Amino acid sequence: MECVEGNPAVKRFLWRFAGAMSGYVACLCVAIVAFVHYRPVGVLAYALAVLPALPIVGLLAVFGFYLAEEKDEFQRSLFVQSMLWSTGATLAATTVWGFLENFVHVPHLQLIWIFPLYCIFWGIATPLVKLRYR
Amino acid sequence: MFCSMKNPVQRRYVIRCWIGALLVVLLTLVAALSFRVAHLRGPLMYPMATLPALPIIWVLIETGRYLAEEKDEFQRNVLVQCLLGGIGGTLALTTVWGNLEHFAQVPHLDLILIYAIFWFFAALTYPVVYRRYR
Amino acid sequence: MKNRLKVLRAERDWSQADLAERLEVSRQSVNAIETGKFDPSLPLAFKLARLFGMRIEEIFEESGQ
Repeated sequence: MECVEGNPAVKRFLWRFAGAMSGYVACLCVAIVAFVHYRPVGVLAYALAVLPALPIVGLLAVFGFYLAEEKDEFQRSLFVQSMLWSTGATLAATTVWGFLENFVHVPHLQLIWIFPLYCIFWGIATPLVKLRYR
Repeated sequence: MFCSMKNPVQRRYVIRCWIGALLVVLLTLVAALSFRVAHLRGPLMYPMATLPALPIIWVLIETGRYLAEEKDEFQRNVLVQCLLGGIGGTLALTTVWGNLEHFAQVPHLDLILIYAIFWFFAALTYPVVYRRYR
Repeated sequence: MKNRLKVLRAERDWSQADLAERLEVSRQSVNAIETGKFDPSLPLAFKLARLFGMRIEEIFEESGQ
């Protein structure tokens, strides 16, 4: 990634990304341990269940902040294009799988995998988008 | 409603969205009837189950085409922000709900609804974006 | 980016809608550019400049970006 050196917006993004990911692992451990060993109920159960989702929402905010802070409009445009392509792909894939689940009873795709699916599509889209401008 | 829209690109897009919406309802009915009433079996199951998803994918493609064809860069910019807000909200909601489903056994959210949830959040984003440019 | 669009429009007695029609964009776009909340792309900036018979720098102020 030639653009990393010297680009403060990207550096900040990478630090925050690492932070959010670490937070996610930590919260997931807490939630799993709590549910397996302590079996919480009521409001505590809901709060603990939501806990691992919070760093993921934070990660979305990290993406948003990068978009707002990146001064290079071309890099911003590339980023947005990748996000739009992966949005389309994710929506198409989940809709198709949703209908298949409903009518043909294929194995269930858990909701928590939709964000990783989005990231996979984004990983595929980013180099393809860059290819346009070579 | 369509005659008041002066922009031909916009008009074409909106009309196609409505046609797409009607087709989704129609094809879902066709698929539901074949599975629930006619008890369709065999290899034909998969294409029939995918049928209602096709107009949805078509509308997604048309949205992309609209973004490519719209000459007014400001309108394009507003729509892009709405789409990003839409996917952000959708990913946040599905992640939180997915965790609640996994840990706290809340009722299941059907994958098919994700497409509608996306447009719901996109519509929510519009007044936020609009206020930025007042 | 600050600009003199409002003044230039007034000189020719054009409403935002008139300018929008000549530029083939929406009235909201003209408003967003005029109030400095949205920067036009290079092609649109050139279009504006040609329309008013001026150079881009005579319409838009850089003002310490």
